[in-house]
Amino acid sequence: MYRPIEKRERSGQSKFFALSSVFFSLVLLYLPTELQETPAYLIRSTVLKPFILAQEYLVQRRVHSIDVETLQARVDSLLVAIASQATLKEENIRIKELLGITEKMPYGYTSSNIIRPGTPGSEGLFLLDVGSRQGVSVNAPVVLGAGLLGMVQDVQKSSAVGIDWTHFQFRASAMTSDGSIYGLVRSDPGGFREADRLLIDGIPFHQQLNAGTVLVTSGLGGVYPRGIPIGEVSTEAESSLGWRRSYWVTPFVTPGEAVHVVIISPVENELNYKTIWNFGVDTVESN
Amino acid sequence: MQGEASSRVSWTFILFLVVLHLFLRLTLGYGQSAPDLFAVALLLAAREVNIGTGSFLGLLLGILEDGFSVMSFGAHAFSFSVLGLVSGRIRNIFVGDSAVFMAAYFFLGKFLRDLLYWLAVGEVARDPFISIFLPDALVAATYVGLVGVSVSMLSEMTSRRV
Repeated sequence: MYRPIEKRERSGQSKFFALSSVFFSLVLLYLPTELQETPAYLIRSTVLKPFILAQEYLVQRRVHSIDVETLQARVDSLLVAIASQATLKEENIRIKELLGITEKMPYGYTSSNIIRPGTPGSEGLFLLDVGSRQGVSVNAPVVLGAGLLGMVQDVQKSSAVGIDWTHFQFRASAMTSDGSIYGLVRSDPGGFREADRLLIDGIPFHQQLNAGTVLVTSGLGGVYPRGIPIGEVSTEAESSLGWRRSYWVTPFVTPGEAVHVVIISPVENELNYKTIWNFGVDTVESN
Repeated sequence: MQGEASSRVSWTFILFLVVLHLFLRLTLGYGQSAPDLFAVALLLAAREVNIGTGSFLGLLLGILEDGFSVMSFGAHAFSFSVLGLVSGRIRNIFVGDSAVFMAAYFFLGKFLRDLLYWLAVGEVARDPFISIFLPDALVAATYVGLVGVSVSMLSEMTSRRV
């Protein structure tokens, strides 16, 4: 049955109510960032939940509908890569034993589907359908097949919010693949969203990067493990000033292509710093 | 004229627009490609209710939109609640059934909402004024203007049928 909206005119009360609404919105706006996350999470987990679940379902259907031939081709490529590198692991272990180098820190992997909110203010943000129950933690790197996509910013029990490299807060300590030159990679917004690109800054003036040089994470920031591919150098930035150089970087991963990603997080149970660096072992045994 | 206009939109229709907005932008992931039906719903409703109800409806819609704002929670709530208040105050200017008047009402409403959001979101999270408003906000406002006129005509047709 059609029910028209009733028009009421109670001017004084109405004005007070209107001003109270605006005042309340200002209170929300100026809440500390830590307190803002709670109401945002409550909205996502209640009113918006059906829409998010529906999008999750659609994303899963899209992932499952990838052509079998494409998947078979990927499996074949992986098998070839594994077969050609079968002896490398053994050689690596033997050389490490000879040189007295221990195993590197172990990392755990969790796969997830990506959901894009598509609302203003959520540019560069994405939702993950895994959370702390699956071992995802804040600041965990999010990677795609070709390289780094972004990082996890907030974690709930069974969901998480992440930022990709187009987000204005994105920063990553980077180096050339041979580890000779270091810098800081950050997002540089373009005139429109599709024109967003990466910039590596802080390169000493006496060092130079050639076009096509591959950049990987250096591990210096303590967020991203060393060695995740970020992108390749394209040209020197015109805005470079002083005794530093900046270069535009073409990222290996385009945020739009991300549907299914991998989240990397240290496996806490397996972390044993004493065995990694052998410090303190002799002292304990001698006592 | 105003009394006649008050029977042209229902809460059911407003709710339908809200759900459709979330379905298009969130579930189907169309993002900015889909029109801002929250703004359309609020501007439609604000013509029929008092400024208190209009502003409160704007606050609710803004809080919903803010669910994904990690850095600027409350910016949408502010822009929508002010829009609800302002559109309730200026609705008498945009009287009549003229499509041009209605298009101007929706165009200005959407532009004001984007401007308020840009002001509220803070310097850290926002893009430069020029890159946002020329031409993005103008295109978005035109889009909402066209969709708003269509939606208000649809609302009128629906009410007549029922």
